[in-house]
Amino acid sequence: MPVGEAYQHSGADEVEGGFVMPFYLVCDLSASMRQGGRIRALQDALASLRDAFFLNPVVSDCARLCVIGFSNRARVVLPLCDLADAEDLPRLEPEGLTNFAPAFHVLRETIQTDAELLRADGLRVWRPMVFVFSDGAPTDDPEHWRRALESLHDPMWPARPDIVSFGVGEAVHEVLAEIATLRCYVSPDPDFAAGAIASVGDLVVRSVVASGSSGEPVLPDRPPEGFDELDIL
Amino acid sequence: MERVAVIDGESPRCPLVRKTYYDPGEVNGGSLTRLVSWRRSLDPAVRADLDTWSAWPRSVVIDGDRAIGTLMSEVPTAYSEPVQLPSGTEASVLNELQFLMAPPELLAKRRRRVLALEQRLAVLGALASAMSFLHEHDIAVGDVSTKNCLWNDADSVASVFLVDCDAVRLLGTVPAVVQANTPGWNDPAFPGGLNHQSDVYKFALTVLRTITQRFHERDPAAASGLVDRPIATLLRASLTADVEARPALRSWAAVLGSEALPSRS
Repeated sequence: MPVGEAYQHSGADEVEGGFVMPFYLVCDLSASMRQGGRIRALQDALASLRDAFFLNPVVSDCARLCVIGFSNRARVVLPLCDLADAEDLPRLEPEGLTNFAPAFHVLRETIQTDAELLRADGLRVWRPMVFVFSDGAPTDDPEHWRRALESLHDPMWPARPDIVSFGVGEAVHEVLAEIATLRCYVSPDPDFAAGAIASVGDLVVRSVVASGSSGEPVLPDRPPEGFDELDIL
Repeated sequence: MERVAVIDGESPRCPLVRKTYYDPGEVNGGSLTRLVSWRRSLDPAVRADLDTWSAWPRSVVIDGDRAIGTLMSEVPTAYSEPVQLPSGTEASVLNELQFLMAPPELLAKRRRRVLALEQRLAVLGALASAMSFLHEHDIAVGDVSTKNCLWNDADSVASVFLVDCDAVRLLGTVPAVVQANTPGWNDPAFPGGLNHQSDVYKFALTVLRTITQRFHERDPAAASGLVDRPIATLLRASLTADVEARPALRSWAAVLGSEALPSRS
């Protein structure tokens, strides 16, 4: 059922040719993700996303997905692509801390580089939609990650993303609400973390499929199962 | 406890599935009942024909005094294909319109057959006939998009099967559920309500996108050179902002060579 709430971005350049809707999945890969099947749930969610791209040529036609993982550092674990083309999915290995600043830095640089590349290919590029999820409190200096976050939220940046954040496990809800620009969802039950990660994956699948089918970014208007919606700060 | 009210009182000839609404507050039970009653009012032969090409609401599921769902026929197996997903899972995939209009390279990657233009147009002819029949019974389809129409062309016989029929609207009444207006398929002339004229616009977008094999095409000039003049002319007329000048779907059915379905007489 179409349940989406459509919102029009103003960032698509007026260029002849096709268009691309980039999606970024920013995943907490800190050591706590080893607990209770959390990393397995995330790995399964990635596989479901690839199936969804495969099942929907209309999605492959215009949606692209990139996966960024963060712990002590952050890195692109799957470069922006049509996920149906990804023969091997990255193996996600949890380790270390939950440092948010590197995640926001890598996200900003990657979005900018991807947008420039796509535009150089003659494509119109929508402002990206970013899904950030974390299962823990930030372990880096709040001043550092807040400064990095500011550069992501910068209203003067043409490629600034719309951000949906998800808090599972031991995440600090207020922090997630600070990161989001579109929606913030939190799962109140820490024991439900693996199931919550699966629900996040389900919402990302529905969003990507609805966006590809519509030709515009769409976010389903219902929270993922087991989540509450928080007011964005 | 729920109870199921079989309003049309007939035994189903094919398996029925139940659709339960996420939020029963979004369903207009009266409108849903009218859709069920409309089907029942049809001549038996016409009703049997309708059931071959649509998942029309058969009954209203009620809980207490509220409509909470509907029963509709299951999609016939001819409108799906078995597929092995990249994850290794075996799945049955509905033959949505996206598999008719996708660029050939995307179909090839999925080992899906690319239909010749003539075959694709035959499927659209079947869709034009189905929609034309509904129009002649004062029904607006509403959300025409890649997801709401399934197709089959086994043995070179083109056919379609409409799903989500609980979202159609009997003219002069409110719809049973909110009629979605898929953004990439919106008719600029009717940003709000959906009617016969917006159906014609969206049908023409379907034709244009199927001909050009481009999911998001809106310019009728993109089809020039690919199809004969009558189709090109209807495309331009259907996609015009002058809604009064848009042709009837029966004109589309005639040009696309499909036999017209019985009309109200």
